[in-house]
Amino acid sequence: MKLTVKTLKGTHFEIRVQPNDTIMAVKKNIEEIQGKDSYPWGQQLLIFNGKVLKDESTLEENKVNEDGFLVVMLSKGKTSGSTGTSSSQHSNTPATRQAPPLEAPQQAPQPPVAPITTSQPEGLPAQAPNTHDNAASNLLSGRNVDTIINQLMEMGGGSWDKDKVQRALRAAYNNPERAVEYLYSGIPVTAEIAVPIGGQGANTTDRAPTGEAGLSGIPNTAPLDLFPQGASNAGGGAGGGPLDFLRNNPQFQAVREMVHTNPQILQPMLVELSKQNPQILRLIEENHDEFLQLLNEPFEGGEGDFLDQPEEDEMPHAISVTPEEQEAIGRLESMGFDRARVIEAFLACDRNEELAANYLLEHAGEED
Amino acid sequence: MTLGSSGAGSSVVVPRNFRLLEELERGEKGIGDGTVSYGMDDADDIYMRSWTGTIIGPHNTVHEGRIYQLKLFCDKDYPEKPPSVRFHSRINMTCVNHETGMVDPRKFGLLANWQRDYTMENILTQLKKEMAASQNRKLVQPPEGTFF
Repeated sequence: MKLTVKTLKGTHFEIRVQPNDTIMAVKKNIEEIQGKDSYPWGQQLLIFNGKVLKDESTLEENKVNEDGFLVVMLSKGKTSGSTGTSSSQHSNTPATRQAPPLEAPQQAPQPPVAPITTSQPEGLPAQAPNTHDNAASNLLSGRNVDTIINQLMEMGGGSWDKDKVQRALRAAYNNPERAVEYLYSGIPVTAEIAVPIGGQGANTTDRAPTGEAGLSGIPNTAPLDLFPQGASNAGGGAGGGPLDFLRNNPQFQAVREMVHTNPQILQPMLVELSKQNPQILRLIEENHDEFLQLLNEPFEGGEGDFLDQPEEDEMPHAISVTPEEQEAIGRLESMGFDRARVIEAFLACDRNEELAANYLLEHAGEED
Repeated sequence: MTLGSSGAGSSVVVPRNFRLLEELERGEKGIGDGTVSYGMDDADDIYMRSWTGTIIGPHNTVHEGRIYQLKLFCDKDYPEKPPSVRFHSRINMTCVNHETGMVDPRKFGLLANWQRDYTMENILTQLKKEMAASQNRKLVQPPEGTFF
């Protein structure tokens, strides 16, 4: 018997079937007629009178008769493009029993438009081009941090405990490659050297104690490392705007990039923030306009605002020192000067110990 | 055959069973674009109460490419009263109960303001339009192929 099949595109065609044919046979029949590209039988779904027909059943079991019609569509979210199928049938007579027999319709199927899928990278890339990418990846999943921590502990062969690895990752802004470097050469020098150099250094100082406090909940707090830092900075941020501490936070910069790329991510991030750090969320709600302004600031451009400890020239990079320079800093420190001022003077005088000593003595009376 | 109750008004009142037979015939002939279809669930039921329907999700929504199966129950007082509509395929919509899949008449205008000349096809078509409404087009949906 002849059966009318309708498509979602509004076209229809006839197939020749037997009442005892299975639905699978009908699907293969449709594939033969319409082409494998348009209607692969594995993805076809046939609907008759409000029911999705099962492959094992037969047309007779589903009470499909010649007056009825089937609707065919593809599953798994694929939408076939324009098939370009032409038919010599008249649209108003397909179901009429008295319709005269027609020639097989001319088939000109076109391949469906390939669906464009956006794949999300899983885990951290093997070689991270910059810190922001790593920070973004870590914000997405806490398991990544755990994986990295385990890998770094294995690299150390047991000599690096979890606490040390976490501190190295924190000092390296969750960049695993830099963290390995720190683990081999030692964290304290870099962390201490970074302290007085620019705004980043100030954040580094504030970050450490909060990080220690958050160790117990590391699987839950690690992906949202931004927020514990903010908490410790919130009180000290009264000098500038309430949200000024966020401006120089590298994780916040990563969040801004993510929000620019995918604005819809902001809402679930705020929901997550309310669980992890209600204080920050309250601050954001009280200063909604400033928060939006922070998010929409251009990425490149100098900031005119100063932190609590303003520096004339900001040097965001960590400065490395040789052992000899470390000894010189130690000697200057033993003269009774504060370590931060010693390091500042030492670097300002092109690492010349004598000039640095002179500078410190001349400005001994000044207070930061 | 049971005759439907006669109604007031000058228009001709079609008895219940004739009305259902008419809808059954329309369902079989497939007038429309094929995105909604319906038919009797049990062909041997002489009262024609139990019906099944499908809606193919509209384009440009999260429902695109999905087939939703529904159950409609037309009791003796149909079409004076609307049928009860229940989703068999799992779906997340504002007018659908999250546990049972029942379409809430208070939240679905066609059932709340039912008129005698409305049909099951109208219900399915309107539900499809509801899927494309702003409050439903982007709701996160359960995995395809799950049922209430």
